[in-house]
Amino acid sequence: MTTTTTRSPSTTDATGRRRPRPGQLELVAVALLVALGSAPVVGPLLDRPEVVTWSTVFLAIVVQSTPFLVLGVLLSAAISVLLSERVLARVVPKRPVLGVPVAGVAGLGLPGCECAAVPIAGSLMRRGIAPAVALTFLLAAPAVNPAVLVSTAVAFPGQPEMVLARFIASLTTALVVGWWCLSRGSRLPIVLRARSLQDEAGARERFVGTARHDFVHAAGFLVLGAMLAAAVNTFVPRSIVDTVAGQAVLGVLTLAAFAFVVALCSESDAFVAASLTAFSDTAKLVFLVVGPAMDVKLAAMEIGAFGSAFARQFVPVVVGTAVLSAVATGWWLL
Amino acid sequence: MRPAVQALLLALLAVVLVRLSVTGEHLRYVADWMRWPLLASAVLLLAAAAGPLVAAVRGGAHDRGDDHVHKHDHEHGHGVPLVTWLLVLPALVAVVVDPPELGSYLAERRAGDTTMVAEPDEVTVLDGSQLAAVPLDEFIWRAQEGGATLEGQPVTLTGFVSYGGDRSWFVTRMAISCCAADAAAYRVQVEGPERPARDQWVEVDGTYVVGSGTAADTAPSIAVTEVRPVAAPEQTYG
Repeated sequence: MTTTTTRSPSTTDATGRRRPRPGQLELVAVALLVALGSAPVVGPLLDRPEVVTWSTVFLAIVVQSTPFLVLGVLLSAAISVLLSERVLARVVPKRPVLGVPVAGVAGLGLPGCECAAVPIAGSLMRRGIAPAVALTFLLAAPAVNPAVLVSTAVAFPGQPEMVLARFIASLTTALVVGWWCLSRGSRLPIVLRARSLQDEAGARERFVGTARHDFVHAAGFLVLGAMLAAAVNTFVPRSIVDTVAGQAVLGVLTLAAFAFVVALCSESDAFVAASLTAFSDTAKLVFLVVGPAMDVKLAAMEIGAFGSAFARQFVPVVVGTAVLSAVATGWWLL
Repeated sequence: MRPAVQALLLALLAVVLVRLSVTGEHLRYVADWMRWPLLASAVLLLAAAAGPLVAAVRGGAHDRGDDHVHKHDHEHGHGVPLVTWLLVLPALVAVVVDPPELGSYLAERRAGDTTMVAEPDEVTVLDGSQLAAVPLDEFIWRAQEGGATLEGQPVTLTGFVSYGGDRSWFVTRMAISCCAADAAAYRVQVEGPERPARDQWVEVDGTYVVGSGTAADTAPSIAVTEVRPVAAPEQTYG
């Protein structure tokens, strides 16, 4: 495999510029061989508890997310290859104003992590679904699915109102952001990657190609997010977070920021929230509502899927909406 | 990025997942039930990587002109961002660092956390006189319930050693619900013997110190008569 090219060929990239292309395959192969060969030398140098602990958490996040991302790209490939636009048009109401709540409730049906939802939302948009509707699904799916609600119930025994509050606040967030996207309409700068496989190949090849491309595309951002989240997780002591627990407003804002940076998977964040006993229930609810809707890992993946101009608008709006709807729900129910 | 390189990155990640699930090392990072989903997704990733890799090998066997490369790039190479290269990182970390399960470093950093323990599914039968092996989480839960059920009961606890200030030490287990990112530390302070080395797994025999650890923000204590070093269990998370 490493002998496939003796000379770097030059090719045309997507924008039509000609540029020289190094033998990437050879580069990867050499880099890996060097890494493998030097592992006995470099390994001990890295054998410091902080490096090792970061590595464990980093690898854990990547390993935990990968099956969900695979599930997501499979579903997304199925949507783009198997579902015809006619079928989709029949399921989703024509008027996006109604499509938003339908997408929110449809989120109940995908018991997965947030990583799965990003490629699915992209695929829905490419299939002609209004972006607002697809983004509502993106926000709702990881937050209101049964697996998340059950784990919340387990983490907060004797507090069923927490489960209800989480469900209501998360769904509200998804719907409000969905309608916001609708009102922005074409001013929302979504950049979707072009799919070039659509017409050329057979259905099977198209399916595999789409899934592979989606995965490769999203996984790099997932790794980036995991690196940051692992660093926060390992190096930021929780006691810093605890110091503001007594103040209502600061407590809410701190847990919102904490949810954003630790990027926990939505099925386990309830257990972490339950352990933050110093905080008010409303602040804990904010943690549970912000986390699945937006975190550093998701933001990275959304930059990859929809472009950074879009993410600059979308990310703050989602976080703000999630905080407000959680505070309102908490004030009402908790 | 050439399709063969993308495929190689996928295959790398897949190999890591296969290794983790086959050797049982996945227990260091995620819950046990993830083993089969990991293996399944690794197989799918390998299947997705097979096409371009085979094509690259075949292409190498024949004369490979610019035409061929060009066509492929056009098919798959669109807009793959630079961060895709980060996909090598999990494999590199797995091989070079080979990170072990979480241990005393994180447990000590999390020492200030409150640890709420829910009632365990199965509760050990305690008769008050016989030495009984009690899981660490159950011990802490009983203490948080007021500790009455532990008074005078000789127990054996198992966990690894983590340190506190003033030469104090704790029998410790990390608990995860999804993956190592959501780990919480279960700690019971040991009163008595000198502290063993950090991360050494131990069994300690002793009795609950009445009145300790009844609130979630302090660890309960155990007055220990004997400490035995033991091998780490296969599932280190409690």
